[in-house]
Amino acid sequence: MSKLVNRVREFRARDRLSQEELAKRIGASRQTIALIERGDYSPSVLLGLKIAEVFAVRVEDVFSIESE
Amino acid sequence: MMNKSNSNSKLPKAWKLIIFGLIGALFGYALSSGSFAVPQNIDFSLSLIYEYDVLFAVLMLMILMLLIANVTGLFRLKAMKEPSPSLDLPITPKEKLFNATLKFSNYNIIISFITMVLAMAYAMRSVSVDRENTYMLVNLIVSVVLFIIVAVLQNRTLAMFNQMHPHRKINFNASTSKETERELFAEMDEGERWIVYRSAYSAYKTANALLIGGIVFFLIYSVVFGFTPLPIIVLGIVWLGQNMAYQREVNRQYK
Repeated sequence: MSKLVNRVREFRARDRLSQEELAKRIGASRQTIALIERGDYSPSVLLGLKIAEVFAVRVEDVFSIESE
Repeated sequence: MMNKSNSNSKLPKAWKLIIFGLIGALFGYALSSGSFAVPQNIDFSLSLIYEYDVLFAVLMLMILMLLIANVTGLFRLKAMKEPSPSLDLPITPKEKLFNATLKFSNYNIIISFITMVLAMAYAMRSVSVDRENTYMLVNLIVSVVLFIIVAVLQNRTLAMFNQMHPHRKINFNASTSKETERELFAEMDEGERWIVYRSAYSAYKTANALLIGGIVFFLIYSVVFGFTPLPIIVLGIVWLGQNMAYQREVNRQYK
């Protein structure tokens, strides 16, 4: 079983962005960012690309697959 | 070790149950054998006794309690400040309080609506006693007034949602409530929609279980108190309707 893991919180801390600010930049809600960071929700490719764009990194730097 | 101690403690309980069962059987046999003189008017047949005024009193007490919770929640929400946007919380204290207030408001709408419908049904039956007429009239007026108050309060609660989420307002001016729902859903992002889907599926499963439970309850009721087909038929139709709506949506997505 594979699991999607992400480094959104880490990149957010690097860029000193709050969940609210990141949410505004990608046109999502703060709750969605919180869900993604907790690993409860796997975002769509579109949202994943938008998040990576904000951090100026590749999408695979933010999201990766981890085998359980 | 743990299992051994558990099995040891369960053994006396099983024996206790058997002994209590035997004592009960002994008493039952002694009473039914005719060895004791039992009053002629004593009735051992099962029955359910309740007064309608008690039923309405309980319902209205529930409405009143939820009403207080709703009003208190609204006042507390007004007094509460917005948290700093830099705070990374999945849900802010204000949002948490709002969700609780909206929950109380929703429950109250359902309970007050049921009370009003019950009062109407009770009023429509033929009444011959004057005292009953007065009670029925007061009951009807109170239930309608309570429903109006609860509906106005829900409107105020939803207005509070609009204040808290200025970018995602509930459109009160839409021509139908369906349109309002559609507009609100269209404004949600994918994470929020995912929460709605999950909650809806959970509600669907719960409703299925409750409907089956209701049917079983009325089956037992029929066995004990007499044949009662109408609630079983109504619950069956609701169950069927719910599953048809679910299947229709599944088929639409697979087209």
